[in-house]
Amino acid sequence: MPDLDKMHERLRNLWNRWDLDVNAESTAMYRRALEITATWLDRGARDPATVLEGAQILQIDPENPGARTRGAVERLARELGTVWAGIERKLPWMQALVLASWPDSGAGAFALLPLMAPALAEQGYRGRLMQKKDVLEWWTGATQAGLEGPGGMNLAGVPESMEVAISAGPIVWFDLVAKVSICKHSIHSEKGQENSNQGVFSNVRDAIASVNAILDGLASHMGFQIPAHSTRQPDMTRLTQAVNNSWKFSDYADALLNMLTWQTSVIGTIWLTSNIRPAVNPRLASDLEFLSARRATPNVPFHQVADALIGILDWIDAHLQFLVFQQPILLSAWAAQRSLIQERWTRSAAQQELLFWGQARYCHGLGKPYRRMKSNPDQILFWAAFEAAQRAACLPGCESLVEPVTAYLCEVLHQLGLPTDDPQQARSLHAWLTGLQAVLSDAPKLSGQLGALLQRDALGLPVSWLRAQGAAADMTQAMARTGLDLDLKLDLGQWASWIFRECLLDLRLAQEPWS
Amino acid sequence: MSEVNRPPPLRPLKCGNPDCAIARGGRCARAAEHPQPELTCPDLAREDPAAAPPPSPSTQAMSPGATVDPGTPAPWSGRHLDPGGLYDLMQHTPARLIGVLGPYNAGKTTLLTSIFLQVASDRRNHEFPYHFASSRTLHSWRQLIDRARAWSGKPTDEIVAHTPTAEEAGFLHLGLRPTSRSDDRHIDVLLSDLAGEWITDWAVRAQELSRQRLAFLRRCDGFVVLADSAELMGQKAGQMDATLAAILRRLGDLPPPATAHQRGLALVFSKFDLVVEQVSPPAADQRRQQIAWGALGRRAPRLFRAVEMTSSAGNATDVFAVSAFPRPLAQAQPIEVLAPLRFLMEHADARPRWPRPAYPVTRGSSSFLALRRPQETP
Repeated sequence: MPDLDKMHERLRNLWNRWDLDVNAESTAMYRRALEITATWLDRGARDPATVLEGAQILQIDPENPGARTRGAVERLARELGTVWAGIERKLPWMQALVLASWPDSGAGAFALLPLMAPALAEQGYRGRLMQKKDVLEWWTGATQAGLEGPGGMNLAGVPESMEVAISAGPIVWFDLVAKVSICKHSIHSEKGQENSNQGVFSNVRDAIASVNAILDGLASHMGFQIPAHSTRQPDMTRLTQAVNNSWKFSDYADALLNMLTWQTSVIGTIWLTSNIRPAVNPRLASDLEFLSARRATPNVPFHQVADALIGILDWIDAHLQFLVFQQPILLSAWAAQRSLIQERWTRSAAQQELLFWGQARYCHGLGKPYRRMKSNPDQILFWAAFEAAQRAACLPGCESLVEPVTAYLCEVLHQLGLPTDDPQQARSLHAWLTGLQAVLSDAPKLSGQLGALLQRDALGLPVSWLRAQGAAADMTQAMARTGLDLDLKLDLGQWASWIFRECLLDLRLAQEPWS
Repeated sequence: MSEVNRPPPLRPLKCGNPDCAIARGGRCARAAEHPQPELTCPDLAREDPAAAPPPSPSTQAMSPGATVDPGTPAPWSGRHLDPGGLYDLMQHTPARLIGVLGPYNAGKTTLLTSIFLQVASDRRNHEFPYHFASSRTLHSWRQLIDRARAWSGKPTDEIVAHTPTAEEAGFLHLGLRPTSRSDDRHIDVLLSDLAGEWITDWAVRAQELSRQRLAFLRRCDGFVVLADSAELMGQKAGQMDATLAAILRRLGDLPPPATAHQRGLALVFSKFDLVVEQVSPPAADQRRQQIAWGALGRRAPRLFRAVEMTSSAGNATDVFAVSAFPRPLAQAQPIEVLAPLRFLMEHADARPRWPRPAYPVTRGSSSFLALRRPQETP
């Protein structure tokens, strides 16, 4: 349940700023109205229609004719009718209630807000001096909330590090396992060098430490019985000294052999107790024996022991990975990580698709390059924006990427020779809509979801309104239906961005089952 | 909700409630109280007027728990709006409130009458960017016009009746629509019509009653202050100068408007036809300079200092020479009566474009993919 006191405080501040007369005897009524509005808005997490209607209520100019009979206003007035009869005649009050009750989180359909009010993004409103500051603050705050939605799963970023917290603190399993592989490969690549290669040996030291950590984890978190290693700490200290002082093999061989022997025996024990019998590398024993035989030899070249080390680490790596990945809890964590990797891959694929489309500049809808459509800039504008929206809709968290994608779209249009930033080429919204109407005959139809929403109220969505009406659209009704100033001057880039937002809204609404 | 079933409504439907859309196929304005408005809503015109109770006041229906008194006259009577009606209207839309001030006999009501005649006439005035759309105080306007039509033309006779001091503050309403085809807003403009004695009391004497009567001033979007030119050129120029300066100083002390837009203040020299042979009105860019007004300016030094002071306080100021009724209505047109209103509406109806919102920049965003980084795990 939202914090009613906080909302009441917001409402009070709005009253003061907007100069609305307050009746002290009606405090209970105001709180009840706030509660009802907040409950109504809460549905917006699962119901895009509620978010759209809330945004439309805030965009209405109370001085516009027919403001109080708009679909969005009637909808909320029905909800509030039991406590506040006639609220639709006091539109500034209704707008204050919606602003005060708007939820702070940008979860669910609230993340679609940047697509639902393109006019706010493109300076489409004028006047309303009393309300302007508060409405713009709401817009910026709600957009920010959409960027920082819960869980981050629907957003642009993917965690860089794959950490799995099991019980007592996180254990970076996969990084640890990866270190063994890294060590193996580095020894293999450097084994032609003389011994005392500090870089290589520090990898060996790190790999040994990683294996120790994994084994400790398997013991403490998975309940495995692991024999104690009495000289573990002195051996690790000696190995570290060897790295720091670039000792020869004979100087640290004992410590190294102790660690490797203990680790291999522990892993073997865990295998046996887990009733798992994979193929055993017969070289393990001979590699360990080889190292043992060389430890007393002074000045033994590193490359002579490198092969044995690689063999041992190879055995450890293979067995450890198998062990680690068998654990159910790790498997489920791995599944979660895999989905993140999958998301990253999907994002990467979707990005590549968008980038390729932008470079190819080919209109898939009409089956020809955009440069062959230069005689009809309105056609290029619509199809480029629509196809960019199709590809952007595949990006997870695309609502948070509207600005950079529209910038990319403008760059594509600029490469096609269209004057995206030329103020001399700015046209009125009415002129742009008229040009768009002429090219919509072979355009894809609007999805059923957005079409149904526009039946109630098309405020602020002129492109979608036009697509829904098709060739039969009566442009004399455009101002009344959309509630917009049709004299608004937009340059080509701004208009392309507007079309993109509305097309993306349509595609996103059709994508998922929201309720 | 009313449980009384009333006589059947007249066809086609007619409703006395100005906010009701049922006659146009829309929703009843009181649908919350009357789910079946054709059966129970008292505002609908019905077949047997004798059986139907008079329309109930729609304002009383706005507050929960309020009882509807069928005997109370409708708030929209066509007469001057009282302060309750004023505030009620200001809850519906951002109405523009213009305070029309000046001493007794300065010509406030006469100017308002002339403004209404100009705005409501069919002639399109290309200098005034609005045309008449509606009025909730038509009856009052009509009474003022009828009185003005009957004026004999003699300067000693009253053009309109003096505003009585005994009643509550009254406000006249104008509904305007911009002449621009792309702007079809309906703008409510409220003009105060007060007794000059109240205004002088408020400006010159610190009285609680005056302060309460003129409490609406802090919500005004603009002011018209009238100065009787003939009085300023006469014997009582000094006293008139002091009173007018006091009014302007008090206006300059008001807190700025809530919207932080600039409030307009128009100083209007009324009855200018009576002094035009002695004083020539200056050019528009010199109107605020005392010296440009010649003899009239010399007789109002404190007034012009107060104009500068209110301008320094953040108000947009200008000075106008106006003649509301130079001759009887049928014989001559008023002179420059719309200029002050046009000036004030430029500020009260300023409509700058909303700026582009500032989009949040995510910390650490350096690439297309990493536009949003997860929060660090604690």
